[in-house]
Order: sequence, then C-alpha cells, then structure tokens
Amino acid sequence: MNRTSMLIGALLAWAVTAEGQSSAPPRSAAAPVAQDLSGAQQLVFRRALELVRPCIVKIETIGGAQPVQSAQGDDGETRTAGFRQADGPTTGVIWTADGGILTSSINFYRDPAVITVTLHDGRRFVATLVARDRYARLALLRIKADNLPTPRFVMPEALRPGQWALAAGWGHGADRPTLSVGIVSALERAAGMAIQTDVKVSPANYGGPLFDIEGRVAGVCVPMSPSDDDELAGVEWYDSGIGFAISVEHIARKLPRLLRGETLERGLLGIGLMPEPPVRVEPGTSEAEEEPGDAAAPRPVEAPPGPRVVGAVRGPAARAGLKLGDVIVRIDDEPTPRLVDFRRMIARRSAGDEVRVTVWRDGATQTVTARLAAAADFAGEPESQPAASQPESGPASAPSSQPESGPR
Amino acid sequence: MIAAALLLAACVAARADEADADGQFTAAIETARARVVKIYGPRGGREAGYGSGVIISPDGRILTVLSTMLEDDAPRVVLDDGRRFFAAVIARDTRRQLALLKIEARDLPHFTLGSSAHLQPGDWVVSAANPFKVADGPEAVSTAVGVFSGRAPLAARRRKQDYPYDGAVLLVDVLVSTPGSAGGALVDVSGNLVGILGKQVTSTRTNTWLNYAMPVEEAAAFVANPQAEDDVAGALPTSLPSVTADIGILLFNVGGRQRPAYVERVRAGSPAAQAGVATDDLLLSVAGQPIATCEDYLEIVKRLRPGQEVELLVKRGDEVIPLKLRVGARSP
Repeated sequence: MNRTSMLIGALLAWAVTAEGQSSAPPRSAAAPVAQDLSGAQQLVFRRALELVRPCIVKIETIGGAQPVQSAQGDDGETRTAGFRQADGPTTGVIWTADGGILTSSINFYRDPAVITVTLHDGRRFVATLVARDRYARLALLRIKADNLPTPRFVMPEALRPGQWALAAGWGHGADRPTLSVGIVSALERAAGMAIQTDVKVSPANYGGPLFDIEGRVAGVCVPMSPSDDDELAGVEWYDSGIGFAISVEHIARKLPRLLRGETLERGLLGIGLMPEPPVRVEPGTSEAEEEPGDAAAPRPVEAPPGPRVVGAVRGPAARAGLKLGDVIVRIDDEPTPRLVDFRRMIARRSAGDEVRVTVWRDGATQTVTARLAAAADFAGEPESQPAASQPESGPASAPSSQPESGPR
Repeated sequence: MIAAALLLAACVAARADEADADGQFTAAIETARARVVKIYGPRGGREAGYGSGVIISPDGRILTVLSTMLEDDAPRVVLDDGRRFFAAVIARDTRRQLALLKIEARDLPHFTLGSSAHLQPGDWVVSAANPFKVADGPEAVSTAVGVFSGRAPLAARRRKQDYPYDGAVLLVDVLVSTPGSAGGALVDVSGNLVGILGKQVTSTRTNTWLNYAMPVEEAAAFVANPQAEDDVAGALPTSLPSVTADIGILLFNVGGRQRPAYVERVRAGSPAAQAGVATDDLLLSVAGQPIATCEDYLEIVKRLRPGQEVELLVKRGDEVIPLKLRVGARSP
C-alpha cells in the first residue's frame, strides 16, 4: 500500500467520521504535504466520478418548439440573465434498474418530439417522457431496458454543509460527462426540496447527479430560484456558485406518482398566511389587528405558535372549513410553529394530494383534511380579483410573500 | 475506522512542518503570477481593451489571445514586478485566436510549453489572469482554483466565423469567462502551464459562457510554426469533394426551421435502400454526427466522400437502429 492510497484511506475515514459525529480531527493537525493532499483529493474525485458514471445518461432531443430567445443580447462585458434553450445534449440519472431515468424538466422545455437516451455503455434508446414535477423541475423518462446500473443514494440527513459535493453532466457534448467539484452549501432549501451547492450547476449538468466523494447520489441538479415559481427561474444563476439539486429524499416522496405518469404541480391550500408574530403582544396592550373582542371580554387565550390565516380562504381550504384567523399548528401531524415548517410540509405534497391540517381556533384545535389544488384550479374562482390573488402565492411559497401585506 | 484515521493522522502530523495543508495551491500560484502579464490596448466592440498574457521565454515572448487590444501600434504589457513595456505583435493565429507578442526584456521567469495530457476530470487547476482589470501596476494578478472538468470540442456561438477552431478545449469549473481573463494561464497544482485561458464565448450546446482554456499543445503548435497559422487555410472549412456524395434519402419537408430529419422516400437501389432505411425513419446521426434537423443532415452529407463506409442511426418506432452503408457518388 503506497502512501497515496493510505492518504485516500485517511481522507475517506475523515469523511465518514465527519458524517457520523463531530470528532473529526482538525485538518491542520494532520496536514500532509500539499502535493500529497492534492494528489489524494484528485484520486478521490476521479474515483467518485467513476462510481457514478455508469448511472449518468446522455439525453438528446429532436424537434419541439423554437429555442426560447434571450430577451437581452449576448454582451461581452456583462453576463446577461436571458435564457435560450441550447442545442446540446442534456443529462439524466438512472433511478430504477427497469429503465426509469430521472432528470430535470427544463431539459424538455421545448416539448421535443423525440427523446433518446444513451447509456454509459453506448446503447441508445428511444425514451418516453413519463411525467414531470413542475414545481421541483423534475422529469421522469422511461426506456425499455432492464438490469440497468442504479446509483447508491445518500439522504440529506447524512449530509453536512461544507462537505465535498460533485456534479457531472453531458451538456458540453464531450465524449464523457464533465465534472465540477465544490461543497454542500446548505440543506433544506426551496421549501425543503433542495440541497444548495457551490458546484457549478448549469445547462451542462441540469438533470445530472449531485454526489458525494463516495459516489453516492444526493440529488438531481435543477435550475431553482427560491423566490420564483417559473420553470426557468434560476437559470440565470448558472455557474454562479449558487446551485441546487432536488434531494433524493424529496424525489422519493414524489416518485410513486411520477411512476404512475402523473404530472405534478405545486400543491396549494388556498389561503394567505401571516408568519408567527416576531414579538408576542402583551395582554392588555392595544393592537389594531388583535382579536375583535372588546375590553370587557375575557382575556384571550394565547394562541400556539404557527402561521395565521389572513387572506381570503378559497379552494381546498374553504372546502375544508378553514377560517380567517385560524392558526395552523400541524400539517400531516407534524408541528408547524414557523411559516417555513408549513411550507416544507406542503411542499412534500403536490396538487391532488390530501393533507391533514390541524388548526387552532378559539382555544381549541381541530384537524381537517384538504385536497391540495394547483394554481390553475383557482383561475375560475369568482374572488380571483387582483387583491385575492395574494393567497395563491401565500401558502407554500416564496420567502418574498410579504407577511406585512397581511389580511386580504 | 475512526481509530485508524486518528492513528494515521498522528503519523502524518510529523510532516506538517514541511508544508501546510492550506498551502495546497500556493506554489502553483507563486509560479503562475510571476509568469502572467497584464495587457492593455484599444477597446472595440465587445472587446474590453485589456487582457492577460503568459511569458514563454526569458527574452520576452508572450502568448495571449487575439483581441482589439492588439490593434494598436504597440499594446502595453505590465509585468508582475510592475515594469511596463510596449510590445510588438509578431504572429497571429486566426484559427486558434492566439497571438504572439514580444517585449524587449531579459531573464524573465517564463512557462515551458509542455503538455496537458495528464489532466483528468477532477484534477485541481489554478487560473491566473487579470479579470476586470482588478490588478493594477505591480499588483499580483487574480487567481482562482477549481477542477478540470473535461475536454470537449469548442462550439463557440459568438462570431463563429472569426473563431473557426473546433478542436478540443480544456473545460474548467473555475469562473474564467470574465472580461480580461483571456490570455491568462491555466496551471496544474505543480504550476505547469496546461492551457491559455480562452476568449469569451458562449457555447451553442449549453448557451452558457464557457469557462475553458486552449490546450498548451495548441499554443505550442502555434509558437513552433507561427507564420503558418496566419494564413486563412485553417479558417475555412475543408474544401468540398468535387463529386457529390449520394445516399438516396429524401427528407420530409414540412416547413418551419426546426424540422426533424424524417425520411419521406428512399430511392430504389440507392445505398440507403440497400442498407434498409425505410420511409418514416427518423435520422438520429450519420457518421457519428448528431442530426437534429434536416439542415444538419444536408450539411453532413455534403462532407461525405463517395466510397466511404458510414453508420446511420435511425429511430423506427421505439427502436434505435444502426445501419451501415457505403456512400455512393453522383455527378454534381
């Protein structure tokens, strides 16, 4: 065993240690010479890519709509935000041995007439687009093949910000996937769906795997903007060091419906929510938006922590009997003390799924069941005047949904 | 496992005084910064009017990219030590978009034009250049670290007619698609020059700004034979064969710019007919070249030589079928 391979062993051991507990030795206490360290890291990165490579497929599309034209021109001085669907191949990850391939829905933005998938071994298949998850920017393809190699997976709970992360994809049209290396930047992004990474995520690897140095797939790279629902949102952040991958945990939640061929939309309850107040109002202090009770009324029972229904109650929420002023304390029996908890729980579901909503109202809690709706389901609703469109963006989304805008 | 790691950690700790792990890239950066220069000249169009270059000989030969900053009597070069020179442009390579400059100096630290063949995806690379003119005068150029991503043929969208190079380039995940970076150095962890940071271009494949470098071998080929590259021979597509290649396929022409290459008719007795191409087949590739549209197909067929053996990949129903044929000939 030469020194380099021993170093790799040490590096891997550190990775394992760091995953399990915090007793990893500080790096500086065990500094090998720089050259050895670089050499060992490079071997580890190569090995990680080799482990994942058999599961990374090249996707090519033929036909479909015209490329989306960039609104801004290509300017040599500035990196413009415009986006144009490229002509090159894209990337997917074999998810099931019987031909299920996961990728990003952005790769099919043009609704191509024909999709083909080329495997690691060179075999090329015609693929069927089985389903998309428009909110998570995922797509599921199927090819008629068996005994395909599937990756090992790593769940987000085993990841720590700061650990190595790698991404690979076919987008550059090379004869093998191109690689980018960085770290896990943050977890639980985009309502808990995504892992954030400083790996260079771009059309070169959208749909490809984000993986760790042991070659375990942690997620599928997608364009993503935590504050915008548009399917193309986040593309302008390509190669910026702000990249996202939908976690394998989130994919596992959505996979059964995707495998059944159901296109998934973001699920909405039909309410506007105000986050838990930053400072609790002391009893007796007058507050314009307090309960409508008068001074003689009994002292109001303190509400439990949780987002409060403030907008028009529509759609699924109205059908389930939710009311203005309700405090949402649990979704699917998981406590939701903060608005972000609510958003993450709702994001686990999609339009068409049922959720159990537990609300606190007048000192008592009750649990109702609601079937989440898609944004389009609200289109015909009579109240959907401009002011009432607020609830659509309220429930599960955007940090930008201004809590201050309050009722209505 | 943990105990083993700690034990090993203790063993290697004794070596820590020799070099700090945090110094993983310091040697490469020290090597590179002394050999990278800042270049200034006129701006024009999309060109910034400033850039970077690498010193490749002790007597002041400098490699950089073709740019308007060289369209001057004498572009100005600033060395790492702050010395300023007027440079002469002694050779231009329009195909690779490289230029060779000369300043009157002696005993300069310089790069050797070696090889990039040892690079594998995942290997560390360091860029050294002057993006956005951040470094001024004697200030050290900007450096950044990332990995080598892989080799891919250059598919430059911007003014492709001016940048006909379609050979392999080195893709990196270092952000070097910035104004002023072009002409700078890409080095490995040992400080060896592996590439010259390329001109700012977007890729037709990804529509992203490409982070890439021209392989050092290409730079060496230019330097070894600088005059040969100045003619336009390399800039033009290879001449078309005088006899037109014939396969015997008529495509389905439904109009619109993105027409998939569906076969409408196969001429009886033609090479395509003998190979088994059928009406309604969708052509996916010919001779390894991917085909997305009818135009792609016509473009590729033009370049085939009669007698050449090629493989066609067609989609028929849900099957992808490879077919082999020998290209026929037809007088133009």
